[in-house]
Amino acid sequence: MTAAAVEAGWRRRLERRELAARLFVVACQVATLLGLLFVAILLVDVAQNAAPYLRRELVTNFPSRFPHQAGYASALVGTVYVAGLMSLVSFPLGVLAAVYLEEYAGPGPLTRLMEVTIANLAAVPSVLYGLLGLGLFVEGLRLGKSILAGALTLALLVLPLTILFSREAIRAVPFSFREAAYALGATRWQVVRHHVLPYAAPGILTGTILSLARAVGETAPLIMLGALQYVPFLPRGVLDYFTVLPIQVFNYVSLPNPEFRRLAAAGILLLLAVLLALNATAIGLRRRSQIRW
Amino acid sequence: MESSGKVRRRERWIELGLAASGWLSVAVTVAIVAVLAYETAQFFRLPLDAADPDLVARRADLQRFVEARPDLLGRPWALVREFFTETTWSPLFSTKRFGVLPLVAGTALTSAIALAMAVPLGLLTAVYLSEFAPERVRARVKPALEVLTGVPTIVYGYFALTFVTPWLQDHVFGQALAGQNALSAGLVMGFMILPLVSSLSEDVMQAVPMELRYGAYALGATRMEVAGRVVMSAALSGIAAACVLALSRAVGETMIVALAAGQSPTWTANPLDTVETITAFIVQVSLGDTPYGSVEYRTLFAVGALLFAATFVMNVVSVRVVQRFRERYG
Repeated sequence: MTAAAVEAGWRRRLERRELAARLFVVACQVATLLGLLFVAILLVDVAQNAAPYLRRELVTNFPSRFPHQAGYASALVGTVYVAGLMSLVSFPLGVLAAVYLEEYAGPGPLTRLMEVTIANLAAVPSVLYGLLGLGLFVEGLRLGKSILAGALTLALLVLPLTILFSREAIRAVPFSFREAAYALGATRWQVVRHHVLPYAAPGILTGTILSLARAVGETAPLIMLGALQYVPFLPRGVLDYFTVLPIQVFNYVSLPNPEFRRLAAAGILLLLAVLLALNATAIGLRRRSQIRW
Repeated sequence: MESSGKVRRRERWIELGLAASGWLSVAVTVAIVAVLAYETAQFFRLPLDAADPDLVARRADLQRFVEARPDLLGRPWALVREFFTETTWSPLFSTKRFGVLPLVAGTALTSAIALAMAVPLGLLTAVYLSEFAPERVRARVKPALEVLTGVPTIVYGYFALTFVTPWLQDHVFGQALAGQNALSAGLVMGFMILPLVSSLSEDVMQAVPMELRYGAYALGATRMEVAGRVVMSAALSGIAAACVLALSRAVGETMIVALAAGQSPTWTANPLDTVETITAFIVQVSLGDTPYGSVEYRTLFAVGALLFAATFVMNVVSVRVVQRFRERYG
């Protein structure tokens, strides 16, 4: 074979390789666009269906057999109750555990066990937390299918997330701050309390809000706890029956009447609005706290 | 000024308190395993309970169990064998068969469809964002895709049931597609786990040292060859971990499949059929009235334990794989 023939063959193959490369880049772009397109179609479809129900009664009315009179009042209040109570439990526990892991725990098999467990907990399907809540809180502690049982279950569900976020925030505080405080004779707790936590606070808060957003959207574990009740009243205490936004949506989607599906779409917009507000707060906090040391 | 002994004692108590909240997570894990194990044992004890005349006289659900399955009385191991090998699951009906395989098949089918969707799309997206996209595009598209993981799953369930299924019926399959089916649930679930695959894969691709790319370009490789044979091969274990994690998420996903895939346990591999996943069964039972300790209540935990075991294994595998990867390039 002559040198010219070899080069001609190489050129042909090069052209083919370059064509393949161009097509590959286009395929990558199309794949990325598909994902974005999916988000867009989903939002447009939900908004279109929800339009006729976006009115004041959506948030002031109780569930009803008639879609035009039905609303999400008890679900909204239920969500606020459950999420608020949950934060009261998960926030302190999560932050304290994070402080322990970052500032106190030495290296060793026990610390390692704790870390691996937390990582694994974060990946347990949420529906299993529902079973845990059912066995532990509803039946074990005899709390019944109540707001308290729901809040405790969700608290366990978001705990690994809160710990994760808080650890990151604590780790971001420069070590020199701690050294300076120790040099002045501060004890370990004084260093944490007066120096680490104040600087980590915005980050910890951001993480807590993101965990809260996760809990607000959870449906499956609360169905296990019997939150799918027809609840035509506002809860009066933490041991009352309850319903929350995503569960009320689930309830309406399952009904055969197509009008209820539209009402469900309106509920979804309500839910997304709540999540958007939470996420915007978190992002705002993160912006304000992004100080480079 | 406080005495130093008092300070030391206080510090000690604080450390104990902090450690206790750390150990709480371990306690939660132990509690999950304990609750699942205990109630699962109760499920496999059913044949023994049903052989006890005193218990049966007091419990209507046990009476129904005895009437339906006299063959199981006093033979728990027969129930174990039936659970793992038979292909009919009807604990809520009067026939009461306990072969869990249809639920496993439903879970496998919807998860397989989701992965078939999410892995190629997610990988191409990751390659685009990591290798080809301008920084400005990357900075906007990545968070936009991550929105997909933040959307509550009930929203996807609604979308799969009221948009995707009717659309597929009108434009592709006609009435061959059941109103609730594995296909639309799987497809929508694929988009839900897409950012999981793309974000994690992109992170590991970014971690591949630039020198490897320069070397390949210097040898005359095209952009596709660098992306495919160099970057993706170097990032392979990280990509594998991302896919396993996505699979574990798909297997444990509940609301999409409960709404869009259906509630009839079918031993089938046809994606156009109605199926029931393990998670959908848990929802189905929870929607009804399930008194503590009843036959239905016990099946709930038996399938829950199966789900826990499956996802636990997957998570351990993906963590192992990521650690191996870190050792190579970290």
